[in-house]
Amino acid sequence: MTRYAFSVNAELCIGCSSCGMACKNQYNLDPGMVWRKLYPLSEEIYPYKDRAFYSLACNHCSQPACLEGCPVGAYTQRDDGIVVHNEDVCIGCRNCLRNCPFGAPRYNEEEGHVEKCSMCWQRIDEGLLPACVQACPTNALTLVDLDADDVSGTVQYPPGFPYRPDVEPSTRFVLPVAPKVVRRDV
Amino acid sequence: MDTRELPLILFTLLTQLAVGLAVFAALRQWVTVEGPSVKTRNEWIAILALIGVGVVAAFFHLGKPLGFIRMLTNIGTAWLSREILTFAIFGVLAAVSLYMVYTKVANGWMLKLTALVGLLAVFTTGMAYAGKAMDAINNLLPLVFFMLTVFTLGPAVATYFVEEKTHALLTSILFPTLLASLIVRFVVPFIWLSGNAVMNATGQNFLASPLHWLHLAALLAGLFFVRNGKSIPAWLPIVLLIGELLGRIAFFALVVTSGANLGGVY
Amino acid sequence: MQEKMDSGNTNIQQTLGSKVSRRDFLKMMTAVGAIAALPGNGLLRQGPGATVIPSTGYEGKDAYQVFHNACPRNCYDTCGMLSYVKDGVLKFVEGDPASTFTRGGLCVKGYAYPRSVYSPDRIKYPMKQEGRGSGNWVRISWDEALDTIAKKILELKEQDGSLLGLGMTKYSGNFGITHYGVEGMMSSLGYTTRFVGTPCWPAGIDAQNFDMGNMWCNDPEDMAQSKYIIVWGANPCTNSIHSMKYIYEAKRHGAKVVVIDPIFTQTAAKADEYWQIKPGGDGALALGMARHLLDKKLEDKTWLEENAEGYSEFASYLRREITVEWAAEQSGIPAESIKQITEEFASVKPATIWLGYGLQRHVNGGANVRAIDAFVAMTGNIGKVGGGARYGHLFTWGFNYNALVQSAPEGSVGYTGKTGPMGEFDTGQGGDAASYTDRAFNINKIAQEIMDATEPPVRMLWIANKNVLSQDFDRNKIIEAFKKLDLIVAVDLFFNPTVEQADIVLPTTTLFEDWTVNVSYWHYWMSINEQAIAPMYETKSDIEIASALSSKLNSLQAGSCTFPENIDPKEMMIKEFNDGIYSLFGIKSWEDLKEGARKAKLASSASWSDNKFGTPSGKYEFKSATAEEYGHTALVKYKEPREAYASYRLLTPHLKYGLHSQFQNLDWMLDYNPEPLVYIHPKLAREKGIADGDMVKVYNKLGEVNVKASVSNIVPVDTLLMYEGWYSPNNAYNVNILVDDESSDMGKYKTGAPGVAIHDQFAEIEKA
Repeated sequence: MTRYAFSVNAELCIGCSSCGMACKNQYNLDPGMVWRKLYPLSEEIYPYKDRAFYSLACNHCSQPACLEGCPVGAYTQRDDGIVVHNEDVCIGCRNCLRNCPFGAPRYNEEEGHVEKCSMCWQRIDEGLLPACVQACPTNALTLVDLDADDVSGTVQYPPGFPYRPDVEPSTRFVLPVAPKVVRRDV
Repeated sequence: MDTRELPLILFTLLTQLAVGLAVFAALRQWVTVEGPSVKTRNEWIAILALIGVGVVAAFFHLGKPLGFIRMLTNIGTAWLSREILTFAIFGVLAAVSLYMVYTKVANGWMLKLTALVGLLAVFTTGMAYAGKAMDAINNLLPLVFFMLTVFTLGPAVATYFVEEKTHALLTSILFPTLLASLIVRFVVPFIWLSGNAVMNATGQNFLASPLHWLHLAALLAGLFFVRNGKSIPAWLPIVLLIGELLGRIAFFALVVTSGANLGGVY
Repeated sequence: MQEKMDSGNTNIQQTLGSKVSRRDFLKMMTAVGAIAALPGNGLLRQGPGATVIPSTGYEGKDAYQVFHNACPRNCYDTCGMLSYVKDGVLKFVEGDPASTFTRGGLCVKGYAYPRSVYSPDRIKYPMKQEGRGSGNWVRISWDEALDTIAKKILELKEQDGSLLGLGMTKYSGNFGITHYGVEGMMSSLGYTTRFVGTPCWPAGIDAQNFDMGNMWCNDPEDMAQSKYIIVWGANPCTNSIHSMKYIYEAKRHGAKVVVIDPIFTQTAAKADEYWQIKPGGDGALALGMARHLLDKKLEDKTWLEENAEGYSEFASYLRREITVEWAAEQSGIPAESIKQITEEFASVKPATIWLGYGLQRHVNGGANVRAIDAFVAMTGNIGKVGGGARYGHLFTWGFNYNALVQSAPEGSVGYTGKTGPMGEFDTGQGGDAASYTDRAFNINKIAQEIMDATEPPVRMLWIANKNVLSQDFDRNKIIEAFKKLDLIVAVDLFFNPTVEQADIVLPTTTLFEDWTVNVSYWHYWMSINEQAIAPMYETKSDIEIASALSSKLNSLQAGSCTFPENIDPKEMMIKEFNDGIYSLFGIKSWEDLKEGARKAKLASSASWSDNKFGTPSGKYEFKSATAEEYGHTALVKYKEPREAYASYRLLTPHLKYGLHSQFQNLDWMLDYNPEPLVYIHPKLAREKGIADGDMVKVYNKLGEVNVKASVSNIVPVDTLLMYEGWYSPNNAYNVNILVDDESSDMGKYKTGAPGVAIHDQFAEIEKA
C-alpha cells in the first residue's frame, strides 16, 4: 500500500514561502485564497519571532473530518491516502470549515465553493511532485510514503499542532533547533 | 461577526422555536382538559411559516444554493445530511398535522409523532454543529444549548396561542428550563477557561462579550417574571426571543477553531 | 500625501475605462476568447482581448507548450525558469531542473509571475499625465508619445548645442543582457548625462579589486565542500534561497556555520552560532580576528610568502594598533568568542566567508570588506575549492553588449575632459577614444546632482529598469529636484511611485514577452529567455522602444539617432552571443540553451586557484597602491564608522516578498505579506509604551513614516528594522523617506561612483 504524506522539516525550513506561492501559481488561485502557507511558531516553542515555521496545507487525514461531515460528498479519499476535494460537487455550505481541526478548507466567496489542497494528485499521477514540494529549495517540505519510507526521525503531533488522533493527520514533522546566540545588547 | 453566518443563526433559532411550538401543541392536546379538540391550528400555521422562513434563510447560506438538493447525499456519515432529512420529514409531518387539525380528523398520534420527529431533528442539529474544529463545542454542548432553546422559546411563544389558564402548564416547564439554561450557560464559559488554548480563548470571548451577558440577563428576567408559576407577561416571550438570538449570535461568532491557533501552544 | 495617492489611483481606474474588480476583469478576458500563439518567433502581438483562463491545476504534460525563461531580477539566484503556456496564455511557471542551482524551484516572488503578467494594474498603453503627480492620465498613441519625446530631445539639442540636458537613470529592474539597449539608446542619440555607479555593491567591488584585482567568487555550489562557513552580513535564507542547500550539505558533512549580522535574520536562525554585531563594526572585528591569528601563529605563512604583497606591513600594523579586546569593544562581540571562532576557522580547510552586500553599505563598507578579505587571505583560503572570500563575480558576463554599443550621431557634442562613465558591468566601448564623452553623475545622489547641474542643467530624464521614487535615497529631496525637469519619461509595468511623477509612461514587456539571455553574478549558469507569450496590449521591450524612438527621430531629423530601426528582438538577442561565451559554456550555439540552462565549464570551482591575481603586482595586495590613488589607505586598515545622527539605528534591508519594488505590489503577495512593519525590541517598546501591533511614527531629519510595530527580539535593543520595498499603490510606506544619500567609502574605482551608506541611518520612534 501507499500512504502519501507531507513531511515538514522545520529545522531545514528557511521560511521562504516558495511552497505557498508555488501552489497559488499551479492553481491560479484567486487573490485572498491561500491553500498552503507558513505558520510561524510562537515564542514559547521557538524563542525568536517569525524565525521557525510549519508549512501546512491539508494534512490528508486517515479519518478526514471534512469528508465525514460533507453533506454532498464533495470529498473523496484515494487509496494512496490523498483526500481530494471536488469544487464542482461542492455547494459551499462550509460545514467542512467547522470540522477540519487544521483549517485546511478555505471558502471562496466569489465562486461560492470551498477549496483546499488535494496534494496535486494530477501531478502525482504523472510521476511528478506536488508543486509545493518541488518548489522547496532545501528539501524541508517533502513527499513521503508512510507505508514505505523511514519516518522514524519525525513526529506526528509536534508542539504548535493540534493533537487529533481522532482524525489522524498524515503530516510528519521535524522540530527546529535554535543556534547559540551571542548578543551584545541584553 | 462573520455576517455570512446570519442565515444559520436564523435557521437554527426559527426551527428550534418551531419544534418548541410543535412539542407544546402536542403536549396541550395530550394533557389538557380539552384533549384532542384543543385548538392548535394557528400554531401549526406558525410552525410551518417558521420552518419555511428558516429553510429559505439556510438556502442563502450556501455558496451554490441550487445544489441544496444534493445535501441528502451523505446521510451515511454526515450529521448535516441527517439534519436536512429529519427536518424535511418534520416539515411534511407538520403540514399533515395542520391538515388533520384543520379538517378536525383524529390526530393525537400524529401530533405526538410530529413533535418527536421535531425533537429528533433538533438532536441532529445539535450533532451537526458540534464541529470537530471547534474544541469548545466538539461535544454534546450544542445539543444541550439547542434543547434549552426549544424548551425556552416553545412554552414562551406558545403563550400567544393559548388562553391564560394554560399558562400554568407552560410555566411549569418554562421555569425549570430557564433555571437550567441560566446555570448551564453561565457555568460553561468558566469550564472552557480551564480547557486547552482553543477552549480557553472561546471562554474568554464569551465572558468578554455583551451578547453573552445580555442573553443571561434575559433568562434572569424570565425567571423573575414567571416565578409566581401562574402567568407569563405578554412582553416576556419577546425578551426571551431576543435573549436567545443574542446567545445564538454568540454561539456562531465567538467559538474559536483550532486551525486559528496553528503554530501556537495548544 | 495619502490623499494625493488615493485620488491618483481613482483617476487611473477611471482612465483605464472601468472600475472593474480583478474578478470581473478575468471574466471579461475569458469571455473574449483565446488567441492561439504561433510557433517560433512569429508570435502575434496580442490584442486587448487576451485570454486568461482560470486554471484547474495541472492538465498533463501534453497540454502545454514549455518555454525556457530566466528571472532577470537583481538576485544572486537568477533562476532558470520553465513557462507552461496553453493557447497563448501563461498558465504557470517552474524552476528549470536543468540547472543544479535552481533545481526545479523558484521562490515566493518567481511563482507570483503569472499574476504579474496578467495583473489588471499593468500599464497597457503609452499615457501622458496632465499635471505631474495629479493622476490625470490620458491614453496616447505610441506615435504621439515618441513624437513628444523626440521633439523634446531635438529641442534640447537646439537649445544647448548638445544632449547633456538629457539624463538617464537605470539600474537593476531587468538584468537581461539586451536591456543594456537603454544605455545603447542614449549613446545612439549623442552624448548625454548618465547616472552612473550602483546603489548596491560598489564599495565591496572596489575592495575586492584592490585586494585581488577583480571581484571573482568561487562557484557557490562548492560551499557544499566547505568545512567552515561564516555568513557575514548576508542573508541567503531571504535573498539567495537556492544557496542554502549547499550550506546545509556542508553542515551534513560536519561543517560549522557562523552568522554575523546586526539582526537575528532567518539565516542566523539556521547557524550553529550567531553573532549580533554592531553595524559597521565588521572591519574592526575582522582585524581583531586577524590579530588573533598572529598571536596564535595560525596564519598560512607559506601561502602568504608566495602570494601576498604588503603582508609584513599589515602584520606590523596589526601588532601595533589592533587587539582582540579593542575589536570586541568596537564590534560588540566578546573577546572569548572572537578567539574561539578564529581558532576554529583557521584549524580546518577549506574555510570560507560569504561577504554580503549589506555589510558594505556603510561609510566604512569598503574598508570592512578589505579587512575580511585580509583575514581569509591570512588563513590561506583564497583560491581553494570550498574556500574564498565570496562576494560576487562577473566572470560569465562576457557578451557582445551589441545592444549597448552604439555610436553617437555625426556632429554630436558632449562632455570634455575625463574618461566616460561606467557601471560595474562596463566592458569598455570599442573604437577610437572620443574627444567627447557622456556627463557622469552619481546615480546614488540623483536629487543633489539634478539640483546642482548647470551648463547645461538636466531638463529631461529617461527612467527605465529603476523605480527612483521607491528605491532612491532621500525621497523628499528627489521630489524637489524633479521640479527642475521639463520632461520625465518612465518605462515601466505598473503605476508605481516613479511613474506617478512621470509625464509620459511607456508600457513595457515582462520577461515572458521578451527575448534575452541571462547570467548571474553569483552562480555560473546561463539561461536563454524565450518569448513565451506575445507582448500584451501595446507593450514594448526596452530595445523595441529604442528602435521605435530611432525611427521617429530620424523621420524628424535625418541622422539624429543611430539605433537600428525595425529591429527583431530575437535577432538582437542572438547578436549578444560570441565565441567566448560559447567556449566558456561548452555550447555550439545559443539554440543549445533551448534545452535548458547551461553551466560554465570552469577549470576549478575556486576563483584564483592559480594564484595569479589581477592586481598590479600580480599578488594578493594587503597594501594596494591603487587604493591610495583613489583616496583610501593603501594598507588594509580600520576605518571609523559613521556617527549616529539620531537615537536609534535604522536598518532597511531586503524583504523576501519583494525584489526591491517588484512583486510586493501584487495581490498574491499581499496574501503572504499583507502590510509593512517596523521591528522593535521589547525593552525599547516598553520604554516607549508601544505594544505589538500599535501604529508608530518613525522619523528623522529627512522625514517620517507611519507604520505598524512588531515587537520582537530579533532586533537589538538600539535598532529599528524596516524592510525596503513598495507595497500596493494605496500604501505610502517608503523607507527611503528616512534614508539619506551619504556615500560609502569605496565604489568610484570600478563603478564610477561611490556607493551609499544605506545602513548607516538613524531615526526616532514614537507611538503615533
